Amino acid sequence: MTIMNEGIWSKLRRVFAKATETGAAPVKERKKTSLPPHTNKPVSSRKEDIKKLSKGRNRSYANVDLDDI
Amino acid sequence: MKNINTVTPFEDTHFDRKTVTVTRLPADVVEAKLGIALSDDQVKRLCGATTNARITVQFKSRWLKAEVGDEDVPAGLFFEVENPAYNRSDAVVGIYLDEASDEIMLYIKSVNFIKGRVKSLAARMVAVIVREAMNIGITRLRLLAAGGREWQDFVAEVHKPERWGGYFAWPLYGFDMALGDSDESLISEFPFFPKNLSACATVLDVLEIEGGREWWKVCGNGHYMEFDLSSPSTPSITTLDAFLGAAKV
Repeated sequence: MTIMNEGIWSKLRRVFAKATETGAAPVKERKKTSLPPHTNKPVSSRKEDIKKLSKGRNRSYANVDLDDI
Repeated sequence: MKNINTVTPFEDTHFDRKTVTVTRLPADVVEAKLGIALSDDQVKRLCGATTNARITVQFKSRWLKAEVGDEDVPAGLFFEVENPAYNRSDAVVGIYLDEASDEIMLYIKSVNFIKGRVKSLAARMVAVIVREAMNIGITRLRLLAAGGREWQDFVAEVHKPERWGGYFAWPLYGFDMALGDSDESLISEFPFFPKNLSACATVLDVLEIEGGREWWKVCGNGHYMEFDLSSPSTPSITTLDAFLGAAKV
């Protein structure tokens, strides 16, 4: 599990500090977090990617039925 | 953002926060793992929870292949939304840190409303999410817009294959992506109509031109798309706002 560096953590806290202004619970001071950064998988072509994704026939993706748009 | 910011009777009916419950696993997961605190109301809005939904908040440090297949789902704080009155399967939405941009983003992993249940429900769901995301400083939403010309059917019920509609629906609500190489080679086969198709670089560009919407519905191909909420006047925001106004939801 990746530990974020202090710079990234400072930014995370700053972003969520805005939540306090809009009525959220106070942001707590914490030096480390286990929120790992999002690392994309190795780049593959979109075509290959779609082929793999599409094979997951029963996968649950973000979907909207064409008749319900 | 007039329509996005207006809480319509449609929203009151289908996104009634008072009826939604939030469970955190473990109870203090947000504080323990992230050192931040989101109120229950914020969680409800960030995942666009429908009326009577039950939300479970979970920290996912990694996703198993069995859970997400080849979809590139980020690690982060995820909200699983159970609601048999609206969903065929649970909706899953999460917030995460995007390493490349050093931004907090929101990922819509799964949405699967009951067919024919409520029209334009997903559009209003995006509006609910957008309002709260902007409040706390999230600047982009991301999802895999499934469907299109190279996508196989999916099978929700035995012997009833269906087409994915995300590749067409999400751009109508403001999500966008650059056109792929194969889209561009296909565009060269359409020299006359839609006019100016060859000048389009993104899906939203295509949808703006005459005949572009029809072209994308038939020829489009879904992949990862993003919604830009870095300001109240981005193309994503204006597209969603216009859709909500036209759909009256």
